[in-house]
Amino acid sequence: MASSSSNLISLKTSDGTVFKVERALAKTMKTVQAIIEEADANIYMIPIHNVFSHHMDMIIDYYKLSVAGKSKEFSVEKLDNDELKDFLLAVHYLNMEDLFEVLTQAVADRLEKKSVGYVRKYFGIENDFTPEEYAAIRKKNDWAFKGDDIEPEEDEEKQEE
Amino acid sequence: MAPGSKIDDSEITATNNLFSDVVTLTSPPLPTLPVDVILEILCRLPAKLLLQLRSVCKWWNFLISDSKFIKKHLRMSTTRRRLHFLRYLSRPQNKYILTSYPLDSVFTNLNTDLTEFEYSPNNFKGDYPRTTFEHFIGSCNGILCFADHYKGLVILWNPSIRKFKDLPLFTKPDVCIDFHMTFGFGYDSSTDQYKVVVVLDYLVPVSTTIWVLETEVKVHILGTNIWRSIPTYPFGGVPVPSALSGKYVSGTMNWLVSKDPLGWGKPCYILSFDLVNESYQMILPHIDGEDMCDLWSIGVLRDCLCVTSGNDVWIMEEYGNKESWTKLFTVPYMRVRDNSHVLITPIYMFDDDQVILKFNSDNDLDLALYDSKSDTLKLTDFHPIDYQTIPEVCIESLISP
Repeated sequence: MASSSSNLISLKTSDGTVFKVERALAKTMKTVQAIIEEADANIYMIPIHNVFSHHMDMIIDYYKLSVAGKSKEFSVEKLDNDELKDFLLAVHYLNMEDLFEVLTQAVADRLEKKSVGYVRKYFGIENDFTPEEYAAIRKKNDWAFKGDDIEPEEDEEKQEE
Repeated sequence: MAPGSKIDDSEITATNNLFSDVVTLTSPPLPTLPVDVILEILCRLPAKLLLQLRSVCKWWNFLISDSKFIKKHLRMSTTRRRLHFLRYLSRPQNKYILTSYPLDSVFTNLNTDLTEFEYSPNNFKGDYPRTTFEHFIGSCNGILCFADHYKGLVILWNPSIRKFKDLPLFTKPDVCIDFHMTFGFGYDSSTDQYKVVVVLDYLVPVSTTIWVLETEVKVHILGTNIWRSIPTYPFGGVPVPSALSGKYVSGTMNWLVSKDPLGWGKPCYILSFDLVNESYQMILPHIDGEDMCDLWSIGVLRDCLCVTSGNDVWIMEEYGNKESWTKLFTVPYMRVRDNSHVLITPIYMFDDDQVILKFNSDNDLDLALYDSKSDTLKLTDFHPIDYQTIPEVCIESLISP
C-alpha cells in the first residue's frame, strides 16, 4: 500500500503541469486511486493522460464547492460545446462519479430542446439511413417531431457532405 | 484468394472510396464520445426527444429501443412528472379524454402546457350508460391504467410515447346483484411483468330470500390473453367503493377493505397482495400500540403506503413493518359547504414536503396544497374543468404498454 508522508498527491497533466492535490480529492478520481493502490512503492507523481491543466482547474473548483456544500453553484455555462465535451471526457477518464453526473446532465440540458440535426452534429454522427428508411422512422412517431417546443430542423444535409 | 472478378470488384470499390469525400461508417459508427458516455447523456433526455433521436442513425435506433436503456431512462426520469386527468364523454361521442399538466401547475395555476388526447377503445359500441364511472386505476413506470365501471374494460396508456393498449375483457359472474369491480395495476420485478388485478364482489342467491357475499380475484399479465382466477383473500370483507383502485407499493397491491358487507362502514383493514408470489396479507396501521381500523382512504406518497383517518395522514415508512407507521401530518380543518365529512386523498408529495390533496365533497374536484412546514392549507385556483376523477401523477417512460 503506497503511503505518502504528506497529505498531498502530485498529479501531472498532459501539458506538463504538476498539481498537488489533497488526498481526499484524489480519492474521488477512481482511476488515480487505482494507480495508487496498485503501486508497490510510494508514488512520487501520477501522470494523468487526457487531462489538461484547465480541466484540473475546474475539477479543483468543483471539489472546493462540494466540500463547502455548494456543489449546486458549480457551473459550466462559460464552456462552449466542444470544451464541455472535452471536459466530460477528461472527467470520464479520471472516473469521477459525481462530477461526471453533473457534466452529463449539463450536456443533456443543452440538448433538451434541440433538433435531431443538431444532436447529430454534436455527437459527430452520420445518418446511415436510406431516405426511405429515414422517412419510415420519422413517420412511426410523427407527432414527436412536431410541437412548439421543437427547434426547426436545420437544412437536412444529405449523406454526402 | 484466387484472382478473379471478386478481387477486381473490391479494388474498384477501394479506389472509389479514395476518391469519394464521404466517410462511410460501418455500424456502430465512431462517435467522438464513448458509448457509455453517450448513454449517460441520452438517458437524461425527455422521451419526446428520444423518440426523434431514433432517427439519428441505425445504431442509435437500436440503442434507444433497447430494454436496458429504457429501464435506465426510467430511473432517471423522476424529475419529469405530470398530473393526469380522465373523463368520459358518453353518447354520441363515446370516448375518453385524457388531459395532463406539468406537476407545478398546482402552484402556478396555469392551464397552459396541457396535452389532451382522445381515445375510443376498440370494444366501444356506444353502449355505455351515461352513469358509467371512469377512473384511473393507477400508474406504474410511466404507464397509466384506467377502466370503466360497466364492462370492466381495462386500458393501458403511456402518454410519453402515446401508445394505448386495450386489455381483453374478463368474464363476469352470471347470477348476481350488487356487482363491483376493484382494480390494481403494478409491476412484478422478479419476472419483469406488468400485472392487472381485479377484485370482484357481488351477492349470489342461495335461496329465494337469502343472498350471500362472494368475492373473486383475477390476475392478468400484460402480453397474455387471459385473466387467471386465483384464490380469493381469506380475511373477508369487501373493498371500499370510494377507493376504487389498488395502490401499488414496492411489488404489492393494496386495497382498503371494509368488514361491513355494504363496504362503507368500519372496521377496515388494508388488503395487501404480493405480486411476486401472489399471496395475501392483512395490514393494519399500528399506532400508539393499537391497531387502527378507522381508515378512510389509502394512497401512496414518496413510494410509501399512506392512510388517512379523519384529518390525519399516516405513512408506513418500511413496507410490512408494523412499527414503522408514522404520522405524516394533520390537515387543518377546512370549512366545507355542507359541513359533511370530507374525504381527503393525498395525491403527491414534493421534495419540499408540500402535498397535493384532493378533497372529495359533493363531487367537486378540489385540489389543495398543504405545506407541512408552515401547517397551511390552500385551495388551488387550478380548476381546468370539473373533473370528477382523482388525478394521477405519472412519470415519463419509454415503456410500451
